[in-house]
Amino acid sequence: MTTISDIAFANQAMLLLIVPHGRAEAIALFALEEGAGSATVFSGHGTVPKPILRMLGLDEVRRELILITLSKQEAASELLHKIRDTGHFSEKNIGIAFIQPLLDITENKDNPAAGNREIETTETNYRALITIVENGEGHAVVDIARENGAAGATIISAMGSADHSTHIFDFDINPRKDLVLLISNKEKADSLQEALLAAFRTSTPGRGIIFSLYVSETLGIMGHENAEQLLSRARAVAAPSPHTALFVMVNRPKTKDIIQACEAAGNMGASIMHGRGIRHTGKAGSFFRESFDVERNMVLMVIKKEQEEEILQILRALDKSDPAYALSVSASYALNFSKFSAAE
Amino acid sequence: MGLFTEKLKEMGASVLPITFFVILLHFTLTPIPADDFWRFIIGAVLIIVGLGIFLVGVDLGATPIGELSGEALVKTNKITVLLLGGLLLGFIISIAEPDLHVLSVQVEQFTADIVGRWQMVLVVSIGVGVMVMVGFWRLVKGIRLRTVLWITYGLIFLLALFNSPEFHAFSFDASGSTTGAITTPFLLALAAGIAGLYEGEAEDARDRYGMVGLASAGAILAMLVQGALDSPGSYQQIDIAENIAPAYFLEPFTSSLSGVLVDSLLSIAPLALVFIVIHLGILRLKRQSVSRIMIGLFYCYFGLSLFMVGVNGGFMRVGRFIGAQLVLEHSPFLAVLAGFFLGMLTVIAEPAVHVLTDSVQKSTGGTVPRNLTLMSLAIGVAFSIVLAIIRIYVEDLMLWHILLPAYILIMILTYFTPDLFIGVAFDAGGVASGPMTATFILAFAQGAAGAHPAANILIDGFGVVALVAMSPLITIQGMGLIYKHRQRKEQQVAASEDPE
Repeated sequence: MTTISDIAFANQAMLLLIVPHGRAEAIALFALEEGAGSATVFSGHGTVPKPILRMLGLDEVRRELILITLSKQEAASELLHKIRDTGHFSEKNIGIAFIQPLLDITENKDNPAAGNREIETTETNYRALITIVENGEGHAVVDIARENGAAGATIISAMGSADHSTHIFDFDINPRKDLVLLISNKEKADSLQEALLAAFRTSTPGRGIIFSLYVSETLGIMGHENAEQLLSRARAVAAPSPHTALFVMVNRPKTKDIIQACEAAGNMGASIMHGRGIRHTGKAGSFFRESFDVERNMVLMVIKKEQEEEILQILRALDKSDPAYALSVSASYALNFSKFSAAE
Repeated sequence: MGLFTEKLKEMGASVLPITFFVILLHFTLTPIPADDFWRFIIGAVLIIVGLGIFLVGVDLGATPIGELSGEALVKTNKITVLLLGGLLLGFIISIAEPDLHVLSVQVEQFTADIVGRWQMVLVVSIGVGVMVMVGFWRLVKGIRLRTVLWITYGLIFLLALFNSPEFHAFSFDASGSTTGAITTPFLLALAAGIAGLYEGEAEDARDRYGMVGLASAGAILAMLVQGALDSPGSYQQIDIAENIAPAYFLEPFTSSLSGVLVDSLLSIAPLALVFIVIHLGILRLKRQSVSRIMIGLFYCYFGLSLFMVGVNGGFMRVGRFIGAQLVLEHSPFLAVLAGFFLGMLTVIAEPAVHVLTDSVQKSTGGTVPRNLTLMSLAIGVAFSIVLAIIRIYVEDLMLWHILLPAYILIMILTYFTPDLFIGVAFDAGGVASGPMTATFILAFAQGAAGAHPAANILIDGFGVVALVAMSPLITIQGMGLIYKHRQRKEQQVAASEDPE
């Protein structure tokens, strides 16, 4: 059995699934049985685009987001098909899944800066667009996205890292945020991003960020691709981006350490999401099983390419110093990164 | 519609167990008159629908208002504003709580006007306000909940020495009745709104909980102070409602309707007021958020009214009947056994219980699942009802004979329990003693007490709520200890698997 620390910096693909509330557990366990490195579940909600339900305030549906890391892109593709074939994910419109190719961040001892950063990916017509806004604005983001042709989106509650400029009662305040994840056509992604930037642009710093990610395979996006078409697609080298998105999974009590260490390295902000890391205890079905998953946070940071190596070094050092962090780090190109603050 | 159908399914699963249990009793131990039986079924349907609507309303209305007010108060960064805000919020939600008014009318009659209705309501509300203030102060100063609880309950024990057994019952019952269906979600959200702002500091969910527990303790403290200063020497008998034959089939529902509509409005009013003040005064929310919250408050009102009509019309008579029949027709053992299951299954249908258990699941990222908290709570309440029925049979068993050792045990447990579970346990105490307990369980206990010749319907009737509020403190802390133990074991297993 590979432990978390063995694969902490060696993931090559990340599989993201969005499923109705209550289904995540079974899928995550299945993925772990099939050899996934880690599976973390977050809860979020989506909205139903019906005006009557909107008026009645009943347009929310609870969903779960499962984030699975794997050592190979091929393995991710295989797993996605297995999940579909085993019926966990078969019905139409039950959720969406996509594979996100990751950068190679395995440590190269001879020359730390020389890791092979290029990623090969099967290009799809899709991008995953991640928008982080103030708490309560998630719905507005989804509305604007719909007006610009997106099919739907999932909102996950998050926390911003503390703004050290204001102390209230001797505490750093963690602003509450909404993270909106949506999948959009490549062609529409740019105009969508423009529309969102226009709508939320402000002069207040720390308002939020927007960026998109490569998607190498999708499943369940209504009326669009299917997996068979995708398999025949040629692989290509993804164009590099000046920004990197770091997905850091960490034991909940250790989150603050990670953020402080990264801040010391010059990173300006991070978003934190509470979730649970599913542990495969081999005792599936027992009443207590579920409760011995570990509380894990995902710390999401978008950093400049130049900062990347320094921050990764710090994270590797932390990981080696104390297994209690249970770190798992994935990196990916952050495309078209921008902040909502006009000052930037 | 997704949200609503989801809640409806959940609530069906919560209310059906008690419904089936009563049907089982109907066919075995206590055949219920046909009319009452069908009223009970109608009541159950109303309760399921009412709870579903109410809980959607809590998500949309009560919770956001609580979180926003907590946030707004903290962000002023002025300790005086925060503390005064806490005092005021605690005071107004308590003074509008219908259950407290019901109890204070009973106490007024019982003490022959020495403790007047409004006097008691005011005293309790001030107590709640002060303790909410203390709760706020604790949160921003980072003082551990157990420290505050030790001091508070130390004071309670001390004051209890200067009070009569009757006042012990009033005080502990008052604590249960101040934390009603609306108050509890609001207080939970208020604390979550504050704790959530600096969660990065502590990085776990422990500080969110405990506010409801402190508010309940405030009510006890205030009543004990009142009793110590001005204790009535003698008590009068009052009439406890009996099962009077209704004039027509739906009468129990229609006759309670107007009272319920007013009561629910009273419960919602402070929240609406708080919302208007913070919206106009501080936050200036977007139009869409405002209308969402308003719709949420309306659902709270509508759902709570349906729920209460269902409980009052369908459940109360059956509760009283079953209680009486069990004592009259069956052995004490069977009565205690039935009480055990009745208590266990009734608390699952308590509205605020779902708000708390959902909140725990959410704030721990799903690692403390909803059902685990729910089950510990249900087992606790089951033992409460067992104790309440034993009190009916055993004449000399005073309330404090149970409460004193139990609370000493509870205080000792807080030394070992992880902070998160201390908070959840004390909140659960307030949550479990909601409208379902105040009507169905109380009616059951009064029915049983009325049927037993040696029992004093008043002494044994009062104090049930106190017992319901007490047991979850033990069982949930127990769950916390088991959780801690298991977690440590799992971690050892995980560590031994690790080659490093």
